[in-house]
Amino acid sequence: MENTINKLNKKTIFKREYVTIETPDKIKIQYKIATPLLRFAALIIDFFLFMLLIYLTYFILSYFEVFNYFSNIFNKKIFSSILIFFYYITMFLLYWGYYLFFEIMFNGKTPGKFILKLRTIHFRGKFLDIRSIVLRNFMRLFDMIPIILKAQFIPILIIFIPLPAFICMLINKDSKRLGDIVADTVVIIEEKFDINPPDFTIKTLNNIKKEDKKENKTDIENKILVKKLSEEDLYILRKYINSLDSFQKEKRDILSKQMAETIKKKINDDTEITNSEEYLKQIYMRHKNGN
Amino acid sequence: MATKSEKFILERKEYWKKLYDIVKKIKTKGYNSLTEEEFQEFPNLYRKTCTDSETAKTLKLSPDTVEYINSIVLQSHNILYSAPKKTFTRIKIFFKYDFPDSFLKNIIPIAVIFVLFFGINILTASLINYNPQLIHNILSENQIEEYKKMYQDIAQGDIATSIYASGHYIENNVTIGFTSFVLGITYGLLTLYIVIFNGLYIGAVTGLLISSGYGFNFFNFVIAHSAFELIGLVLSGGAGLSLGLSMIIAKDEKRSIIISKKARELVPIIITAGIFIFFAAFIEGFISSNSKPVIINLGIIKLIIPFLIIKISVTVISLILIIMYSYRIFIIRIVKRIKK
Repeated sequence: MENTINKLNKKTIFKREYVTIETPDKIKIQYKIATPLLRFAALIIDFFLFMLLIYLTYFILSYFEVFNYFSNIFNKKIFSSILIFFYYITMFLLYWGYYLFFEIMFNGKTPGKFILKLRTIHFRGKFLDIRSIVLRNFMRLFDMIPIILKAQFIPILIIFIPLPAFICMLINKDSKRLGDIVADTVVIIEEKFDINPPDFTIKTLNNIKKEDKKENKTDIENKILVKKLSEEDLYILRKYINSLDSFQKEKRDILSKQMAETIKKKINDDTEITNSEEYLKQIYMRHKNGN
Repeated sequence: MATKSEKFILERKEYWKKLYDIVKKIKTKGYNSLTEEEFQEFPNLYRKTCTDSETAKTLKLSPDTVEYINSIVLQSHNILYSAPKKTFTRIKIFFKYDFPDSFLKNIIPIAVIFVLFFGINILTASLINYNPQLIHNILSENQIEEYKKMYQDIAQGDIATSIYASGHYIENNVTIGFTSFVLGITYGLLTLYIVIFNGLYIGAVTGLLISSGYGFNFFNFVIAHSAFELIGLVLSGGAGLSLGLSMIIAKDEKRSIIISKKARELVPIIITAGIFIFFAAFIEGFISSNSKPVIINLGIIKLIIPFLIIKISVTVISLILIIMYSYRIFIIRIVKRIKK
C-alpha cells in the first residue's frame, strides 16, 4: 500500500502556489500565482467591457448616421461609407488592441485584472516589455479558439470556455496559458502592502488568578534557559497566545497542554507545569526580555 | 531587549519607511513628483531592503517579518521594473535594427514560405491556364461564375464604396496575417496549411481569369497592392513556420524556453508584416478598385490622367521602397562584414 501511495504522490501534478522570481539584481522575490478561476473571472469582466465598447461605437456611429440623414449636412452616401469604415477600423483596433493598450499603459493590468487585483509580470524578473505583451495577446487567438470564432461573426454574448488555455493552465505548474509560455510571463495576485510591521506583543490573559501568576513566575525566573526557541517557534507561540480567545474551552486546554509539553521538551526544562497557558506566556516573555 | 526579529525591524525601520513613502508617492502622483534626492535614493534603498530580505531568510527570522520585508520589496520591484515609456525614436530603431536583425536570423523559413507560396501559385495558375478543366477540382460552379462576373468589367468603384471596402480589407487581411503566425504554435503545420491553401486558391483564380480572357481586368485590380500584401503574408507565414520549427529542433534546452526566445525574436517580423498588409489594404480600397481617369483643372489646361498610370506608378513606388529597404538590410550589412 505504501509503495503505491508513494508512486501516486510522485505522479500527481504538483501545482505551485507561489512563484519565485529572480530579478536581474540576483534577488529572489515570491509572488502568489493567480488561479485559473480568478483569471477566468477577469476574462469575463474584460469580455463584458469589450462588448460594451463595441456596442458603444455601434451606437455612436448609428446616431451620427441618423443625424446626417435628417440634417443633410454631408453627402449621405459618402458619409455613411465613412461611418462603416470607422466601424471596421474600431472593430479591428478593439479586437487586436484592447489587451495591448491596457497592458502597455497600466503595466500589465487590464480592467478585469485591475478589479480582481491581478497583474502580469515577466517570469525572469525583467520589466514587462512590449514584445512580451504583443506575444501574450496575439496568442489569445489560439488560446481562446471557441470564443473568437464565434465573436467575430455574431457579436452577441455567448457562454464560452477558452478550452486550449484552460487545459494548458491545468497542466502547467505555474498555471500559465499558452500565451504566457510563449511570452515568458506569469499572472500573479497583487498583495496588499502592509505599512505596519508585525506586532510582537502578546495579549494579557484574563482568566488566570493573580496568586497563580506569582508562584509560577518565581519558579521559572530563577532558572536560566539552556536552549532557546527558534524565531519560527516563537512566531507560532505568539500567534497561538494571541488567538487563544477564539478556541473552545475544552479544546483550548488540551491544545495548550500539548504545546507546553512540546516546548518543555525542546528547551530541556524540568519545571512542573501547573498552568500551561501561563507557562507558555512566560516562556515567550523570557525570550522577549532576553534572558 | 527583544527577540531577534524585533531587533532586526527596529534597526531598519526608518529607511523602510522612507522607501515606502517614495513608492506611495510614485503610485499616486507619478515620477515627476519626486525630488532629486528621492530619485537618487530610491534604487539604493531598494537594494538595501533586498539584502535585508535575504538576510532575514538566512537568519530564519519569524515568518511574518520575512513576509513584511518581502512585501516592501515586491511593491518597489513592481515600480522599478515597469516598462520604460517609449518615444518615437524607438520606431526608427525598430526599422533600422530590430526588423533587419530578426529578418536575417529567420531568413531560411521565410525563404521556404516564399518559394512554397509563389511556386504553388504560379504552378496552379499555369496548369489551369493550360488545361481549364482542372479548375473544377478546386472551385465550385457557383464560385467560378461569381469570379467571372466580378471581373467582367474593369473595377469601377466610387469613393463611397472604396472607403468602406478598405476598412473591410484592413480587418480581414491583417487578421489572416496574424493568424498564420499564431497558428505556427502547432509545429508550423497550420501555417503551412494556410500558406498552401492561399497559394492554391489565388493561383486557381488567376488561372481561371486568364484562361477565360479577363486577365487584363484581373491584373488591373491586383497590381497596385499586391507587392505589399503578398510580402506581408509571406513574412507572417515565415515567422509562423520558424516558430514551429524551433519547437521541433529544440534539443538541449526546455521546449518552453526555446519557444519564448524564438517568439521574442519574431515579434518585429509580425509587426512589419501587419504594417505592410495595413498599407496594402488602403491601396486596395482606394486605388485598386478605381479605374476612372482623374481630371485636374489647371485653369486653361485640363490634365486627364488615366488611372492605369496612377496604379503603375504606385506599384513602381512600392517596389522601389521595398528594394531600397532590402538594400539597407542586405548590402550595407554584408559590406560591413566584409570590411571587418
